Amino acid sequence: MAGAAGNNGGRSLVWLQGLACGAAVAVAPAASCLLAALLAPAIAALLFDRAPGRPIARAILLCGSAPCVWPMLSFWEMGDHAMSAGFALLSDPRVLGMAWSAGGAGWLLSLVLPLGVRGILEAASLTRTALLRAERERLVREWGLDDQ
Amino acid sequence: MQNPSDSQHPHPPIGGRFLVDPTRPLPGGGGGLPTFAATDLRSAGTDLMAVAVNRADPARANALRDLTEAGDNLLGPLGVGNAPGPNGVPAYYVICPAPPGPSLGTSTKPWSEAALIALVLRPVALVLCRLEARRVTHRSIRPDNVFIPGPGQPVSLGCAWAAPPALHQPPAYEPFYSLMCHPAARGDGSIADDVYALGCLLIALATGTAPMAGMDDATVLRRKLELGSFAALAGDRRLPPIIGDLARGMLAEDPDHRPTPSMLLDPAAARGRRVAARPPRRAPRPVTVGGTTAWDARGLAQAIGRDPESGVRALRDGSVAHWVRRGLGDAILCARIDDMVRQRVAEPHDDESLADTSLAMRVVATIEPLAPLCWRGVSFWPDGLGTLIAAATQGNSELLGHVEEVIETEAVGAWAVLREDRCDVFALRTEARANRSLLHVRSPVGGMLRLAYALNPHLPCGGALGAHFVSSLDGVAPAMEAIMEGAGMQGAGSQSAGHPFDAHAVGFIAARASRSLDIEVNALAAHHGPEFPAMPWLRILAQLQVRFVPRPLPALSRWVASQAEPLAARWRNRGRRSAVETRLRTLAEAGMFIPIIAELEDHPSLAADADGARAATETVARIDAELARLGGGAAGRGSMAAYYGQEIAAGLGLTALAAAVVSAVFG
Repeated sequence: MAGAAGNNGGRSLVWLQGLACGAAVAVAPAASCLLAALLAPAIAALLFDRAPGRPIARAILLCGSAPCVWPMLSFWEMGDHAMSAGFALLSDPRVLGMAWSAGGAGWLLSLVLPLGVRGILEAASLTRTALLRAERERLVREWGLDDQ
Repeated sequence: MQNPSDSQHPHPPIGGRFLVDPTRPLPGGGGGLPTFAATDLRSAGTDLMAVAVNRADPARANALRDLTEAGDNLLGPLGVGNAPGPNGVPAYYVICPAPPGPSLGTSTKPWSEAALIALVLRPVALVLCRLEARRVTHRSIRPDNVFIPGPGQPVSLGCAWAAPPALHQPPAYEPFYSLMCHPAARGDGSIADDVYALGCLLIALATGTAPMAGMDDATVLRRKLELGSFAALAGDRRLPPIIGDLARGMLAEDPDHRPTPSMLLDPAAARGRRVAARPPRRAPRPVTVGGTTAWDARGLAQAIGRDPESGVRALRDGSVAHWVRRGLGDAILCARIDDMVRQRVAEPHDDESLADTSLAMRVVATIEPLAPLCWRGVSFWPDGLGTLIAAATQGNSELLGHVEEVIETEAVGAWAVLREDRCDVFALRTEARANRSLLHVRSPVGGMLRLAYALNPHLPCGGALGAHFVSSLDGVAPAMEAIMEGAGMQGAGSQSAGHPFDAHAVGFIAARASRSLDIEVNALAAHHGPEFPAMPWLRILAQLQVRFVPRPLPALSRWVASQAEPLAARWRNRGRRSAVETRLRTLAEAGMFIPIIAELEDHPSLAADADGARAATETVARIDAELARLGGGAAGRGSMAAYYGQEIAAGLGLTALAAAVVSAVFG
């Protein structure tokens, strides 16, 4: 029953998200399309990342969102909010390239940073182990604990 | 301050007073024992002799203790102690006045009756009176140990204190019950036994011949049993009338029937005293037990005592009871024997041989109350048990086994009960119980060696210390030091062969130790395992050093300290342990034991070390736990790294987004 309730909750959230997206498309279709195009890697990552909390997709989304701020601001300042304006912005390869590169960078960070942190942790563990072994050796030698 | 005499003589004088000159032997002075001239440093007297004690035949402790100021006509003991022997070998001497003249054994001329009474009987009786008053017996009255200063002068009794009672007596001079005994186990006896020997001496002097000369002990015993002592000794010889009458009374088989020494002071009265002793019943036909033919009850007792196995067979098949009833006509004795045999048959025992031996012992005591305790063919008086053990410990394992059985079964107590009108039952049973408890003490603190030394206060320590003739505690540590110096045992081997800490030394110290050494001796008894009990020995040696030898004993302390080095392992800290071992070696070189003990028993240091060891152990356990956690934490670190890495990536993305928004908002 609890699993069913959880599934119902998750399904409701998906429905809400779909409703929000639908509302956004209905209210501002051009802006929505522009944003969807700019955040396409993040949307794809959200679809494929099945890990709890979707950490890779989250990093791609956040990193990819940063270069979207200026194109969206430019699109807003154009005033007519037409689809053509959106396509005009998208036709600029620097805008789309910047947005997608940022998403790729987020993906790369989400893969590389755990390895770096793992390296740091292993190094700290090795250092601690060496210190403890030295201390143990000293105590054993001094008190003859190996005779026991 | 050094005694002046020490500088002149390398060995201290006996009792601080007597010097022995081993180069001047006095032949014939000690009644069979080697004798040397001695001098008294206090009075500058040279008319003394030192009688050498045999190692296996300890000197008589009670006589040496109780017979100070012996008086006239007796070569009483003046001192006892160690001095070098003829070849520089340590020896043990009893110091006595030198004999005032030749012994009576040198002359074969018959004495007149008057001379015998005036010069022999009365003076010796007087001496015996004094001995009786001090509860001491002589037991060595024989021609070669009685000395005459000159014609017409009273004789003097010789030294009888340097050997067990009656050990060197010719068989003629001992009553039958003493002859039945092992020579070393005749015991102190009573003054009546001295009266018996005096009676024999009177016959010898009166006839000018040694009675029963050339006969061995068994022949003399057999003749005395068959004929009676007086008839066996006097034979057909003509004796002066008074001497004959006196000797007849003095040679009575029952000591209660002999005149007392005080009676002998008045020979006329003693002569007139007739004790109506009932002559032993003689059977018309003999009974044979184990090859010995017996005509009377006394002979039967001797035969059973000599061969108990044959005796028990004869008892069981009823031949003894039948002979006693029909031959001797003694129905009461027969009934008592029958009761004992029936009781033995009715009650099965785990050890049948032991039960048979006990039956033989009880039957002998019943048939002849004068007989000594007979056990597996060995006869002895309870007061001769100590000297018997001393003789047995000289390698006679069979005899030692028999004596051990006697003590284990408390046979002396059972024997005493059967002849309670002739002995102090309570005292004998108490003594038997005490001996048994000593026997049961864990060897080598207990056992037969401990008993040998406890029952013989002048028995020298055997084993490795044997060559040094150590007879008291004050000689133990110097003798050990000499052995260690000689053997060069400077802490080399752990259990070097020939070291002086053997079973003899332990038994000797346990027997001689005062109460202050009880704890240390008991620690030796409680020691288990093959390792050397270093700590108890250190404490014992420390006490001996403080009390008797206040000088360094470096060779001994080096060896003992080397054996004590494993005790330094009680310090867990290796640095401290190494320091303790170094200090031990240094202290051992100094040769004093108390600082070594103090070093090994530094309780505050030991407690601090134990606390440190405990803390170290706990720390190591904690480290081990952490190392285990670190070693097994790879997976956890991986997931943690993934989590934090992705969170950092998300954080960087969020930061970039925030920066873009801020820059968009604020231009």
